[in-house]
Amino acid sequence: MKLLLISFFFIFSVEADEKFFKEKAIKDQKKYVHTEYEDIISGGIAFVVGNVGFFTTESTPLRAAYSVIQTVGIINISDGIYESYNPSKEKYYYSLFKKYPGYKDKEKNQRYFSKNIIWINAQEEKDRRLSRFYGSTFLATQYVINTLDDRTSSDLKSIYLFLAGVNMIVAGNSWFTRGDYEKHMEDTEKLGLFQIFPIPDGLSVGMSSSF
Amino acid sequence: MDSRLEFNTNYFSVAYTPYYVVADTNVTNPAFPEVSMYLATKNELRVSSGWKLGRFWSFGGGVAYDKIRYAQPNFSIFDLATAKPNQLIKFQNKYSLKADLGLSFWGQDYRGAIPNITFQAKNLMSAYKLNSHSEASVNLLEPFALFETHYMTTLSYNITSKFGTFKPGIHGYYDENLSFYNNYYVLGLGYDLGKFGTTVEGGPYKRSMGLFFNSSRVDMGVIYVQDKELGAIQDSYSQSVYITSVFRL
Repeated sequence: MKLLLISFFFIFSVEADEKFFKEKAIKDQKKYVHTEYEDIISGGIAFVVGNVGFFTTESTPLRAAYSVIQTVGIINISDGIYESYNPSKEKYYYSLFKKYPGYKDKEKNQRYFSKNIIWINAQEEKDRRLSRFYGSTFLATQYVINTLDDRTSSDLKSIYLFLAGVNMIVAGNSWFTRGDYEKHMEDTEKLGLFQIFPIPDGLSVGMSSSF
Repeated sequence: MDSRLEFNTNYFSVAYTPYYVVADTNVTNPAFPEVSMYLATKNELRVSSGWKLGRFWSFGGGVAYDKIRYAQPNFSIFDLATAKPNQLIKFQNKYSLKADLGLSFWGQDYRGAIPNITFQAKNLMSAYKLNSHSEASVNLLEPFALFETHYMTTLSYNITSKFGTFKPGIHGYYDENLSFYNNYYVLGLGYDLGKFGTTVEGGPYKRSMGLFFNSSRVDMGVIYVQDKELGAIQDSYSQSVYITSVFRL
């Protein structure tokens, strides 16, 4: 009877946690008004309009405005791609519960959870780092291209070169600086610790088909 | 020419207009040229806020203090030979503590087929009055629905699809006696998709196109406007470009 009660409590507790993560994932899920790609599409429109406007107008204030629109476009595309690949940590936590195989061995259970929690955090760090790397690289490239146009005033050229330099530093820093989880995952992968349990793939772990 | 600096919070907005310039001239009678001018500048400090009243109504209000400096000279071009420009163009100053009120009914939320309706009262208690009752030809140059007390109504309807939200609408303007300003109405179509928006507006005396881009930190807009502020007496459209930007702190 006691065992039954403990089991019941354990099942109830796990179910409550699972429910919490599911609800949190649904709550944190971005509510798209039109389509899940709207940020990427609107970023693409800003990028195109910004470039067409910048390279067809003569007015310096308008060129400055269009270059801000170029920047907005690149940031939105970069953020949109990040959001669509790494939507919510809670989704991964929910998957962790759903896919839990229920090992009898305590050590296996510990390794299952620690490995996967590290993987989730490492994946988030990596996605954020790469998003920043690609975004800053494209911004630096865009600013350098803007300076190549002869009609760009010397004041604007100086500003673009400064911004290009700042973005190149951010890009370099993002490429070479890894977070603690990402570093730990890479080190342990080299040691082969994770070979017992396959590391889940970022796309397949997502719970988009679950609800 | 127009400029405005805004500071927005979740509860209120403070806007300062360091300069707003209107300058129109009209030359008649080529044999004996007569020049009519309307010149005005405005400095304004405005505080405004808005509230939601239940599910279907919202209310907005603002208080502004402004200084309008204007002149409406009318002289022969030969007068320029005998008088200095500052003798011909005499500026007057008007200081006002004025108010704006707005009320919106979100008809679509109430019942899908009903459009959204907004009524705005602008520049209530403004010290600036139109001189349009005077017969002086120079008063024809005075722009309407700008500095004086006036009212505005907007009807709009949102159509949301997976390709974006389309927002057709119409604006109408009324003078302080609630008489409709004929030919000053504007038909508009807005479009929103994620962080991009555009508007196209057209009326007998106004055409404009705006492009708006948002991001988590910066909003940027470019609006191209062609208008005839003076209505039928203005031969060609005056062209202007507005650049709007908002930086979130």
